[in-house]
Amino acid sequence: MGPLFPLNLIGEETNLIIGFFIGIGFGFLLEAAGFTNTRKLAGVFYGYDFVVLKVFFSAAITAGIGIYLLSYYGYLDVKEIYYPQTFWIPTLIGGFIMALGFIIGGFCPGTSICAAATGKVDAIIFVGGAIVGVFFYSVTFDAIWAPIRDSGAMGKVNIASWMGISQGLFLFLLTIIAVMAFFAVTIIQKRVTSKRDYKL
Amino acid sequence: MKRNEIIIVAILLIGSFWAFTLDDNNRYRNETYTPCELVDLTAKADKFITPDELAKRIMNNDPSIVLIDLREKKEFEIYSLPNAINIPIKNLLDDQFNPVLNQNTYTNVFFSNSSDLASKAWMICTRMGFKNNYILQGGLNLWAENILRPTAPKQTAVNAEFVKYNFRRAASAYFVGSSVVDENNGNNGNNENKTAAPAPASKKKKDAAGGGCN
Repeated sequence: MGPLFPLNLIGEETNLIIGFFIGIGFGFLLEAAGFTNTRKLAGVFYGYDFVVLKVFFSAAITAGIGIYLLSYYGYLDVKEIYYPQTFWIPTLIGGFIMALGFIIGGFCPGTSICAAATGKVDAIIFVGGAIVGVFFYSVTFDAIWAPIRDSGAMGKVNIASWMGISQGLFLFLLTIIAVMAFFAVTIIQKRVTSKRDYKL
Repeated sequence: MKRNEIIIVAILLIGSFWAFTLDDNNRYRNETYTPCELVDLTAKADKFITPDELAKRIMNNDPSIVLIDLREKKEFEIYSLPNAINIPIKNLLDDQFNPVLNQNTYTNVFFSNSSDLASKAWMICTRMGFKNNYILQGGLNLWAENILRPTAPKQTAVNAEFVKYNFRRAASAYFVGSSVVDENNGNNGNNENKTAAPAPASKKKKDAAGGGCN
């Protein structure tokens, strides 16, 4: 039955329209949850607000469970869902740069667009910086980045099969880890906020 | 943690535990049976239909039977069973044939020259969870041997063999027409057709009886 677009169950136009409305919902909820506030995202690093971590961890697990169950009951063909090949070295470097971007700029790529749409000047500058970065990367790709980009190739890796355990067990373990992380960050948050009064 | 956070965590735990209990790496989308179940099914299932049984059902105009020729179109056009449809095995899972295969009303009989293509098709269709799949035992080769060119049993054979032989001669006349060659004496079988065609005759009688007082 799914995914709808790769299996040609819907056309490209319908796909774009559905994407448009999901995008509206996503942007609305990011703004409504206060994620376009730079202090919220930076709070994860300073230890006074872990909502971002909780939300994105829960979202990832919800999506994981949903995809697993839909696939198990035959409503979704996982093989048709695109996921990129893994190159662990550039991923590690990219993750490091992204974390720096989070803590310095206070935005992640999605929230920066939402914040720019609300008219936040810092977000507009952040998006501008991202565009310049993308341009710089593409211009200098062959000269500088190509060897790094292709290093550490692991092919299409599913983390559960890479670890040699089943998908269901992996999801369950991930949820346990998430729950433990939620408890831990709640304690950290209490301690940090009791020392200093952070205002978002 | 706040109350709604605890609720969300509980839901996630239940969901992931559900996924964990379902876990079965051997089960893939669209494939109803695991390899182990399929082996059991292959060993148990009465998946063959003999040429005699098929001939009987075709001669009785059984509407539930669908004959599927798995050979290439060229071979299909040269000769096939009456009213057979051609699904070359490489196109078996094409969308256009899905309504034919994925159903629960008709009896699908796969055949090719021998029974190996049909066995493959049976395996694929059964694994996909399609119902009512059968293989024509021995394929068209055995069909030709048993039905189109039946050989007479030895004089010492049991009566059942003669009954079967007579039926096959009748079936031969039905499928090949009057030009059937009697292999015993090399003559055209016309003169023996009367005695050799009990099956259609008895069917007629039955029909008349079934029709009531008319």
